[in-house]
Amino acid sequence: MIFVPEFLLVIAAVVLIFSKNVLKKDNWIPAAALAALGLAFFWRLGTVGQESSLGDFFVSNDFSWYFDLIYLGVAAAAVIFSFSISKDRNIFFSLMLIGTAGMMLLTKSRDILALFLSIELIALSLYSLVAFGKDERKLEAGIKYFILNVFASALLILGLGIVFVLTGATQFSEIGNNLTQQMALPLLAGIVFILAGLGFKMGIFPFNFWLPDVYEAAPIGITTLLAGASKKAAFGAVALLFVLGLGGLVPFWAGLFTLLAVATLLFGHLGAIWQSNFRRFLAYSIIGQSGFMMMGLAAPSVLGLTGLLFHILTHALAIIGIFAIMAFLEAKGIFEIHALDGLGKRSPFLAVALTIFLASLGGVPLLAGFVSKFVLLSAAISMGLVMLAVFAVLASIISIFFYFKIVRSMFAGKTQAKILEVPILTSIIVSISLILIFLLGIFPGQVIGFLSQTINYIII
Amino acid sequence: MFPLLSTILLFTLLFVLFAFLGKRKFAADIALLGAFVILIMALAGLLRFDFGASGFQMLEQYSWIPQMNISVILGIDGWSYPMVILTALLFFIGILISRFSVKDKQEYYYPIFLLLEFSVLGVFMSLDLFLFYIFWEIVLIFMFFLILIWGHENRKYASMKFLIYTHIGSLVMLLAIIAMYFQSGLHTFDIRALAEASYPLGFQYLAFFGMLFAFMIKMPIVPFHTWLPDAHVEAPTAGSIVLAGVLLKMGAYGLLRIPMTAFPDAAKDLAIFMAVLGFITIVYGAFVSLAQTNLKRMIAYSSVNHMGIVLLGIATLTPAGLNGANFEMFSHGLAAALLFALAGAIYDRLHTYEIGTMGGLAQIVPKLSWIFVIGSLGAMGLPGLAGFVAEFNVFIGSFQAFGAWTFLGLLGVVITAAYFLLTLQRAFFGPIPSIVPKIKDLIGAETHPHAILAVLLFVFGIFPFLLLSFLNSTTLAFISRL
Repeated sequence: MIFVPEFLLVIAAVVLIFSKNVLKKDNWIPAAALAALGLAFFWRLGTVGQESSLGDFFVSNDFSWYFDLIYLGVAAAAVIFSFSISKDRNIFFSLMLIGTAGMMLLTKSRDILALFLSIELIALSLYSLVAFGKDERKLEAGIKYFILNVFASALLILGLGIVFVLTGATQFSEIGNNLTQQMALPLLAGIVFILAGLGFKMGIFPFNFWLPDVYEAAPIGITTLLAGASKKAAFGAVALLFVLGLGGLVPFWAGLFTLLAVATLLFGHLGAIWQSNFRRFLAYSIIGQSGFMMMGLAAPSVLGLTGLLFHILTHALAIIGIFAIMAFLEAKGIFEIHALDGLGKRSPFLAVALTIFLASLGGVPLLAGFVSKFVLLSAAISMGLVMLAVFAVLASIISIFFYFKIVRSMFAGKTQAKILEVPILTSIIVSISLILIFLLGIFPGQVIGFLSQTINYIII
Repeated sequence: MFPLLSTILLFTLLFVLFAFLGKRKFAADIALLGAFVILIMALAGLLRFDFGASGFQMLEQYSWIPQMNISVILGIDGWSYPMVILTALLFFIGILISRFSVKDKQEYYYPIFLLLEFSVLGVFMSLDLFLFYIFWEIVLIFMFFLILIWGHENRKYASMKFLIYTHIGSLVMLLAIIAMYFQSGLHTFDIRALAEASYPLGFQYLAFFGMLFAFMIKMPIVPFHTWLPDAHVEAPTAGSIVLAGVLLKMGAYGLLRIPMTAFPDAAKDLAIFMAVLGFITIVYGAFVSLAQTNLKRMIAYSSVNHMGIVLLGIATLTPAGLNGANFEMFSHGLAAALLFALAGAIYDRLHTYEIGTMGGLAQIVPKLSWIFVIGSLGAMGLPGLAGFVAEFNVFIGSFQAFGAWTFLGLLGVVITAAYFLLTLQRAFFGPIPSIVPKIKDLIGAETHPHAILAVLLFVFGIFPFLLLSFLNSTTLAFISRL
């Protein structure tokens, strides 16, 4: 039963690809992709608490359940944002489904090989998706993404190879058993290579330089998928590999994560200040948010990992909401931040919603983003990482500055432009994310409890 | 027992909803009714309040996030209850005044104003630091929008400055709160439990400084005061009233409630440091007020000056000083609210705050002018008005604790008198400008809010025990723990 949702997605993808040979029309394809994702989502929703495994390769439990729901939710939103794609729809949407299936496999993997295969599956589908379209800039972004990712994959396999050579095992749990303190130093090389390889996918400093360009040029649905799902999958993989496999050497690598967290926090947040294009701005802010997620790995206690998982969810929700609004605004020709001036008059609903999403990212209380940041800060302080917490606070202040600069221009900026009619689909997606962000912000107890239980699956 | 405090909070939210969903033209009326009901409910607590008791009363506790040991704990004591009443009163006054000054987007203005009231009340009522922080933060957000949307010309700059400055303080406070959660070993945010825990001295210093920093920004204390004049000048009138009246007091209240109570050793060691900052703030605030030509900016700096007196009172660690500091929080709340309300009324008529363009207002708008005189005298600390009792107590405490240094503070009081008298002379009693502005005096309903505040200044000045009976037992209990 473990792979039912993945099978569903792959079968749907195959059907979509070959449908072109049978049917002339293709306007049903996005809906079919959405239906497949929806079906997988609800199937997975019903399997909470169930555990199953495929040998020692893949294990499905509540940990992967949580991630699967996030991937499927984000992918469904991404499919909706891509309705306007008109050429080669069958390929586009089937690749999205395959990429999503790859992510679902990634956070189930318990073996170096499984991990690597899943990552490549994701990458293969995203390479072509990023470059989709005729625009030359997209092609450039696609090539950039492709080359850097191939490079990252090479580093990753090198790093994984070092771990294998030293420990003589491919399974995470066996790697954990075979670890000895003497391996620490040679393992450092492996850890650095793995971090470099996965760091590209996570979008952390200093492996994030592709990110703004690609986020800006890719189709909006794909940017959503990159920011909301594939990046989270990479974090899930790192949590699995490092906590489950290399958990015996926590003091050894946690310091490295602390440094990377601080650097990522500062780079992303300082970079975002200067952006004028909305997508590039978001790209930098997303890099900054990765810094917060890194905090969870830098303080890998139950609290820290809970914070990491929770932040992944709250961030994905905000991303879905913001990109829904952006997809609509881009269709109206709004790409730059200054074009948001007076949005409060043009569409009060969108302006208020965007304010709440940005405030949640900035960590304003009663919104989901605050609680996850709070848990992460608590984790850092409880582990004595006070300086990390101070840097996180510093980053948070900077982020409030640039998020509320946008809020300010929406409500106090002047505009002559006419009122915007918001399509019903956009309203629905935005409303769902809004409701969830408030729910998780005001009543986070259940989720925090669930997550701290779930962490037991990866902490031995 | 009837859960009064949570009922007050829920009713505030209910009226927010009514004002938002009701018809646009009724928004102001609904909000007024709401603020009135809340004021009555806040006063109704007097029936049950035990003036002799020192601990928290009307306690309510509800589990909220049991996974992290976070609860909704509400309660009031002799320090916070006057603040709750002051909040309810000033928001009521603020809405009365907004009916004359706020014209556009009323359907959003009144709900946001009531939401601000909700969060300020929450700050003074909550006994769980997580909850306290949440209320504290959303106060910022709603105040930001109040300034941003209904402020004057330079509102974009001022609202951002306000948000960033105070947010820096909040986050530093959050770090200190989380550190207390772990350092106490109790894994709780309950203020009462955290106050009983013992902390190593080094930690006490660190956390005390963090919190002092946060609260000094809010109060504000020199050199962290620069956001205040900008925010005040750009804020709408009712925004200024509550900003000076209660939002600044949140800083002083937080200082008393958390670090002073939980870290008594650090408090004793750092009292001198706070006193120095208090003296500097008193004198600096007074001198800068003297130099202002903008009426609202002048009143704003006088708030800085008065919050310096509050900090000095807290730093004395004597019963008189602490009673005086709390009394000052209340009396300055009344006086500053009155002065800002009148400044707003003048702005509505003359469309300027420049003192230089006014003159002879006492002959043109006598009622407004004479109430302004009362407010000024109240802020100066004239005997018979509430400010006198407060400052008298603070300086008594200061003499006991710091001796002759107190003259520095008295110097500040003298300068305060000077700038108020100077302003009165220039704006209200000077020669009438050659072109007499055609403006109306306060008439009918517009007089009421100002009159209420002016009368209360006298009431608490003549019968100080009305307020001291709240403060004294809590203050004595606080002193005994030091």
